[in-house]
Amino acid sequence: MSILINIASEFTGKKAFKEADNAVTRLDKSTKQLAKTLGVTLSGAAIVAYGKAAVKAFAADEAAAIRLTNAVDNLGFAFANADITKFIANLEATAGIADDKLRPAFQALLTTTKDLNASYKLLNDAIAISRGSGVDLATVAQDLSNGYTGVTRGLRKYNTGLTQAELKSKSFAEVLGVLNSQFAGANQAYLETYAYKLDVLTVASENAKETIGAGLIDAFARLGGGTEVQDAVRAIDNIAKAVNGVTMAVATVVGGFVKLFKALDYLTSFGGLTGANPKWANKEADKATKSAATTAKIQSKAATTLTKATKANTAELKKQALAKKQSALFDLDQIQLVAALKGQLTEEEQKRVKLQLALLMENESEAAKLSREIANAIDSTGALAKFLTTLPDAKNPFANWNNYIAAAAAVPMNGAGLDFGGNKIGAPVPNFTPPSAGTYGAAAPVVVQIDGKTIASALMDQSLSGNQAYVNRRTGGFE
Amino acid sequence: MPTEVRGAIALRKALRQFEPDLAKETTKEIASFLKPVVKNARGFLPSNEEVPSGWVKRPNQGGRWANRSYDATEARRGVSFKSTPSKPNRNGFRSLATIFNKSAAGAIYETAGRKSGITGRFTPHLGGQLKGKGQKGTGRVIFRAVDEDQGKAKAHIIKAIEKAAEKLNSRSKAL
Repeated sequence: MSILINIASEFTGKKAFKEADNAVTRLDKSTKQLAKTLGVTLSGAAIVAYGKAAVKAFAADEAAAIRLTNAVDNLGFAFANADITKFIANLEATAGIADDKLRPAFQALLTTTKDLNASYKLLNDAIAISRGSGVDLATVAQDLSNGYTGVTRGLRKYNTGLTQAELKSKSFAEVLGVLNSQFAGANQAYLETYAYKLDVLTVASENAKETIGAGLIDAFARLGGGTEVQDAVRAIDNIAKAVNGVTMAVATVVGGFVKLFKALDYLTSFGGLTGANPKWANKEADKATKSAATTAKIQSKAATTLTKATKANTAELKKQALAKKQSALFDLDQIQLVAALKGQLTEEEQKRVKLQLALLMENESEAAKLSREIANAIDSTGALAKFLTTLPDAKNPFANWNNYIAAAAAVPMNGAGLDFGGNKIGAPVPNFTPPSAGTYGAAAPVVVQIDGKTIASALMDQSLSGNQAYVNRRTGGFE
Repeated sequence: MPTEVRGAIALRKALRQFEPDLAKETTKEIASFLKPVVKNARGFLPSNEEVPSGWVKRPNQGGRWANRSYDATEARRGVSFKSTPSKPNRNGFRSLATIFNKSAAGAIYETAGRKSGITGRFTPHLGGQLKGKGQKGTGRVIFRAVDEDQGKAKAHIIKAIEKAAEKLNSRSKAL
């Protein structure tokens, strides 16, 4: 690591700065190349400047024209205004000198000579002298005007070879003759030069600028909400601020102005994005409409699908119901019951068979009806039902259970104890055989008596072959 | 001491392109102003006997301090100048002329104690004087020499650059 003392050091930029600088340079070059390719010659700022210049050029031209017109009117040559305008325009086109230079020169000569024809001739001479001597036209015209009135001081600069005394002594016509002879052919020679051609182009460009300016004043003034030049300039500024970086080709004819004017609407609405019918709002509206349409389509499709499915389901259910009905025809239990109904059965038996059929067919209403009818048939008088409802409560068989336990506890365990059928407590129970209660399913007689009178008797079994009245062992019901 | 100028590098470039003899002459002139300063700076370096004995370079020395041990000859050789433009440093500066102290031992002797002070067991035994402006502009060798020069060399160098610029301009106008 070395220690340095730098003398006469210079900041040449960091590498990053250099790279950025290179990038900017490259960008600038490519932008210019692009502009050239597109045929665009002016940037947005230049457009604004041109617009302003055009407006000002027209204003200046108009002012000069008004001044000349007033001067001509004051001199009593109002009738010749049209001719003067035509003369100036022709001279401008042929000589390649802008009218804003010709008008002041002509005005100076006219006001001095008060002679139209003399003024026309002197202006032509002034142009020749200006071209020959290199002195600007306004100065030459002024000098000639002064010389016309006898002031010859300004004529010295043209190196005529005349002394001051000679200039004073000679007449203006003679001095003019000397000047014309001295600068003869200068005008003609100038017309063949490149400078003249450039002058002609410049004049054309300036005229175009004035033309554009005339239209721009109206157009921009309207945009600016006014009618004056100041309004136009203000409007141009506002538009230039609003639109940044817009490049437009500038035409040099009125047609170009028309194109420019048409573009103003586009510019002021920021490329159609704002305004009464903004692009972005239309885009959003279109989007929303499309979205709504899509949603409606989907919903409609879904509804159709649902309807179809419902119809299909209904049809299926109907089919199933029909199939069940048809299948019932092959149900053996039902067949047997139907056959039984066709047989020789009593009314009560028929009801019972129908009840069974109703239960098989799951016809609840019919089953309930038949059950009631059968129960009523069994107890047609209703006395049994009444009796059953008025039966007293059964005695509690365990009411004296506590007494039994107390008595049992009082008996000593050894010796004589409680005897259950010959067996004493404590003694082993020999051969205890529980009493027989019959086997499940075996037939046993059932006799029902009220007040000693038998009201019903049947052979109870588990099959359907016997009488159908049976006691429900689980619930204790009687059916 | 460091002075910022504008256009010196560009001037030299122009000189080399259009007036190479003038460029050489200017470079020699700048060198002539820097030589006495560098000579003076070399004089501030101590001999081997004057520095702490443990720091002196020994033959066949190994380890980290092999390259950092002091040798008066080597240290003196490391103090020199450059009168041609340098490469841009990390901050983007280029200099037309430079005085440097290149050797490790020379740099140690130059800068020891300028931050932490003359403390410890090494720095107080180095000797010399820390002279200059600011912490980074202070030293015992080149900074001391430049400080004692009191800016004379710098002024002469800038004058030489200006003279070269004038000569270049006058010669190109004459064309």
